[in-house]
Amino acid sequence: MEMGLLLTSLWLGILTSISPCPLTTNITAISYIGQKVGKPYYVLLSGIFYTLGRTALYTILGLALSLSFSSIPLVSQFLQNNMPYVVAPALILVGLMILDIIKIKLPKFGLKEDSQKNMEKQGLIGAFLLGIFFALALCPVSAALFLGNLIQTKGNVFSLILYGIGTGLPVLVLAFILAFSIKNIVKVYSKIVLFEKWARKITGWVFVIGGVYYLVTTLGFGLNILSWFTLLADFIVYNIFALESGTHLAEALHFFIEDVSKIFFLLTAMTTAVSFFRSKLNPEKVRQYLEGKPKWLAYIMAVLLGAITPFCSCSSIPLFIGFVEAGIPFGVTMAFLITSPMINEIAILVFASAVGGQLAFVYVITGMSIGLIGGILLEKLGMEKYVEGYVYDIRMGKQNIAENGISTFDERLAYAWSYAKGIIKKIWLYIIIGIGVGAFLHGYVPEEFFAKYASADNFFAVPLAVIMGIPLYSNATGVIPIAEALLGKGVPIGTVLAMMMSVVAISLPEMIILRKVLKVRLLAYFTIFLFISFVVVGYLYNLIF
Amino acid sequence: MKKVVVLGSENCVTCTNLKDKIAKMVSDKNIPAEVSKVTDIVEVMKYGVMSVPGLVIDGQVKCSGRIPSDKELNSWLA
Repeated sequence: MEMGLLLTSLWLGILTSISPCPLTTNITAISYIGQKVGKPYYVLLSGIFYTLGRTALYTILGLALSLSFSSIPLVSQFLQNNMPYVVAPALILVGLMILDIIKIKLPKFGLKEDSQKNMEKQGLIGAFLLGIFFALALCPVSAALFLGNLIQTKGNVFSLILYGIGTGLPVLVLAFILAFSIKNIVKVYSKIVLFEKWARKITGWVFVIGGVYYLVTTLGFGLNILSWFTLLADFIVYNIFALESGTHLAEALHFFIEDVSKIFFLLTAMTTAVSFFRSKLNPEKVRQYLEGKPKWLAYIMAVLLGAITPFCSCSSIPLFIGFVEAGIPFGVTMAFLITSPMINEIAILVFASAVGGQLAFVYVITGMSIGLIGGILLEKLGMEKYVEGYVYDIRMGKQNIAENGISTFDERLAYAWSYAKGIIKKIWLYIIIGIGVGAFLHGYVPEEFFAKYASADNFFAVPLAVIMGIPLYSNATGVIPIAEALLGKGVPIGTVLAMMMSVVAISLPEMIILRKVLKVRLLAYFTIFLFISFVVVGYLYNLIF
Repeated sequence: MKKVVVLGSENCVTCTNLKDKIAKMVSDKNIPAEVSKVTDIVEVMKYGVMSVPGLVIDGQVKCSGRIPSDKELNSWLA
């Protein structure tokens, strides 16, 4: 046993003794021990017995825990095979608990008042029992420290004993002070409280950093966070479920687990980050930017802003009316309406992580071009007359054009976080379904199937993919796993992109909403234009790539 | 007596949620306020709001395109 590890155990024990809730029990213990202030050696002896009590309990508890783990064959075998996988996350978890970042409620092993009083009458044995019972009062922080010690020493007896001694040591020291000089006791206590605060913080971070270091060194986790999700899926599929690599089920499950963990992680992180920086941008602002700009500039700005502005489909009507009312040309408004749902900055980031930045870039440029051409074309064809007449009669209130009411850093952060939560609540089902379909394609549908029906040689593959995408409606993020699986099966890029755009941009619910401001004829042209352009895009990219 | 108006559109779940949230807050804390919801697009546009849900208190637009936090709501309703 290394000296360093033993010292760590002692240190963790001391830290336990002065963490908030054992500290209160220790204060009680000292007031009990201090009753016999007149007899210095007796006080000291009580302190020792109290410490022994604590030591006994922690040692037995620790041994019992580690023995029970190793005596259950399944558990011990699992731990042996997967020790690094368990230790590293456990270290991080314990560190976070020590830091009070993760709060876990434990049942309280409290002492009843009367039994506590009973024990106080019984002298040294009482001190010993008090030690045992107070040691049972594990609260989250001390439980975390106890488990931390158990994990890092793998249940070594000496470290358990040292840990126990550590938890009683401050009481012992105070008993000593009490016994021989009573003057400084208050001062010492206030110092301990301050010391504990810092010592606990440092120890917590040491655990977290140690855990991360362990992950990186022993498991070869790179700093590339995306590869972690592959490792996680490897671990769950091949270690926990013990599936054989290469089987249909293993492949599908692996795809599912990796994509669920990865996409939800990325979605949360990126939505929060993006909406933090974007919290000042809203459709009202876009309207102001576009108002009164020369037409060519307005078009370009419309597709750019369309790509980065979030707007929920339930806002497309007020948005449309607001634009028209501000005198923004019809074509520019349509360009914005086409681009905005098709290019979703967060989905693009997730897409880039799944299939590479180059393809994501191609998608963005294509989406913007379709929006631009669509806007110009619909205007040139004189489609404006098919806008419902009442739209032009609406006068928007000017005096109230509002800021959305976010200004300080905290407000922006709160906005970003609640926005991210709202988004996930709204689209999680689409994503799960998308990943499920992707996982099925990945695991169960053989490549030959796609080679036969969806290869570039098949002339009908592209239009069919687009037509299939029309009734299907999903959020942009939900389509990505399907696209990922299809690309993995060798389906040509153009076909996949065409299908993706069709699923995202043409949807029945959106059409029904837009029907309120656009006449059926215009909606039909709108859909036909999108259909043709997606098909063209499909053929074009199948040719190029 | 404050006049609280939630601006929404049909099929907008978030807008309904906002109205329910405020109605609950008002009745829980006995705030003297009258809560209503407007979904008629012509009316919504009169407030200059282009993204729903919007929140109007005593004729003044407080926020749009998001659900305000409890803290904000409390300060506006107080």
